[in-house]
Amino acid sequence: MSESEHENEIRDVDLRKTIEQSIIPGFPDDLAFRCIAKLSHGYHGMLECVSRRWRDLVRSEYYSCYKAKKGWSGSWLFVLAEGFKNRWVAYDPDADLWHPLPRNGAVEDGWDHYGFACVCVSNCLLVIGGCYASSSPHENTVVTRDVVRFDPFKKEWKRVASMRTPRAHFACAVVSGKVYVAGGRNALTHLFGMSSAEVYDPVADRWVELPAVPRPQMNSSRSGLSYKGSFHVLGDEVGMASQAFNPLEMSWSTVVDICPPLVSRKFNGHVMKNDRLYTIDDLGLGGSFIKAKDTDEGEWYDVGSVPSVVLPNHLGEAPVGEYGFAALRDKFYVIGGIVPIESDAGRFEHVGWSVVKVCNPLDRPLNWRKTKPMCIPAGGRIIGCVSLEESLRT
Amino acid sequence: MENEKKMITLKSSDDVTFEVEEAVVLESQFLSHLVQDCPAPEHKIKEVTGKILSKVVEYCEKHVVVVVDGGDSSSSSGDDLKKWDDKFIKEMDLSTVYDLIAAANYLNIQALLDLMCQRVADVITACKDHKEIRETLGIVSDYTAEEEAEVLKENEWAFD
Repeated sequence: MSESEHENEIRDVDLRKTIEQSIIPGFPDDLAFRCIAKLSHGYHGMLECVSRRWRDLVRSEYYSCYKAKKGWSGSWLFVLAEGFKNRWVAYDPDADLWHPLPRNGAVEDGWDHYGFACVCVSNCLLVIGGCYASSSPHENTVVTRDVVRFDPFKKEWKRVASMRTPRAHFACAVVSGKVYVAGGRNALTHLFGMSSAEVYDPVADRWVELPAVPRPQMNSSRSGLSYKGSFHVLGDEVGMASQAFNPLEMSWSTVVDICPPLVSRKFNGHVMKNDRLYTIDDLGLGGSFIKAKDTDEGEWYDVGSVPSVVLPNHLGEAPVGEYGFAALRDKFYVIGGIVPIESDAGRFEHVGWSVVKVCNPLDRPLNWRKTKPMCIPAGGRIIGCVSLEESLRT
Repeated sequence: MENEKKMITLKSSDDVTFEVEEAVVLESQFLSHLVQDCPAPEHKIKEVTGKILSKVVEYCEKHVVVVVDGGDSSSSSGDDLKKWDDKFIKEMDLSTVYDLIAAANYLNIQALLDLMCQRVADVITACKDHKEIRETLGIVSDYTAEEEAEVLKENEWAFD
């Protein structure tokens, strides 16, 4: 459809139902609509407060579809902090603003959700599997097959096709528009990880079983990685080989570990432009270090460290841990986390932290700057963190 | 043979005339069709005033890509053009912005339309809250007190 036809379409659809106050007085509605469609999602809460007309407009499907068509839906960072009642929050880098998402109805009140995987595919956020744990000691923890999808255009959660196998703490990554999962545990009492693997097609909304993982691991959380067209399941111990699934050959192979022998395996790799790989070595109280590798054959080298924290009323710097980490538009984000502080009794306690820092990994030494902190009270240990960069819907 | 530039005269609703090169006119899809379909030397644009048409012409003249002989481009580089755009929209009052959006829409000049819509969006994001948006754009809230309290509560995170 050409631009002008598109404009005509708006005029027809939007003006037909307009008897109320105009969107902006003294200005045709179709053009006012166009101006307001330029505003990124971080501003939508403020727009909704202006008038009934504006609220209905911003919440309308027509508004979100129009933005999606124009490629104006923007970039998103989705974050879930522990103990925040399963309420996800989102960051809008254009507005430098955080806002909470609507409640995810899949998790009942009084239950915590963890061990899930979260990825973005087809311009949607998917929260996959994991376990539900009740705050009541009489309820058992349940491992789930559930998959819920948040559509940022419609701003709603929806349950989509469930996995074939319930699983928690599993490897997950998006390769060529499909979601691959492998391993994990289907009952928390099991000592060994499952060998089962499956793939989700977001267009068909269907899961399909894959060949079994040759060497299952116990805990594969954060070990999934999409790299050069294959789904990598990184070894969960130092010196353990990675396994890679090639979607074209539909088979697994053992590959040279593409991530460095880290002391911890708290974060998986991140692939940025030109196939450059990044990863984080989290040494707990020793701080966290970002490493990079430029080519397959290249050596890992240090890029810099995740900035430590100076808390008011406490002397010295403390490392932040259990933070969220995401790459969005060529930048790295370190989100929230917990900071150890020494209490009066000489013991260590952890305090939640809502500060967000961002840097461009190509600017060395790393130059971290603060963005807006997460909206209250979403700080603390981050259990879900993923970025979405809009791609045009066809 | 001399490659002479073809000139076209545009006349606004209040009979202000602008003589521009054909390439400038081609920035507007509407005028391109008009010039092709009716090869008159002068075109009256009844929907646009002289004040606004002068802005449109100024914008199009700046943005037209003039390829000189030898393949060298004399058009401004992207950065310069952006700076020029910023300056172009900066000092404009809102009613001029509205009129220019309407003109860009009518004449079908997508880049100008986008630029001016962005300017309105920037005016909105510069407001500190919903009340300032109402004041700036002259909107009367149609919320009842209860409705307003409810929507404010839902969006309390939006104000810090």
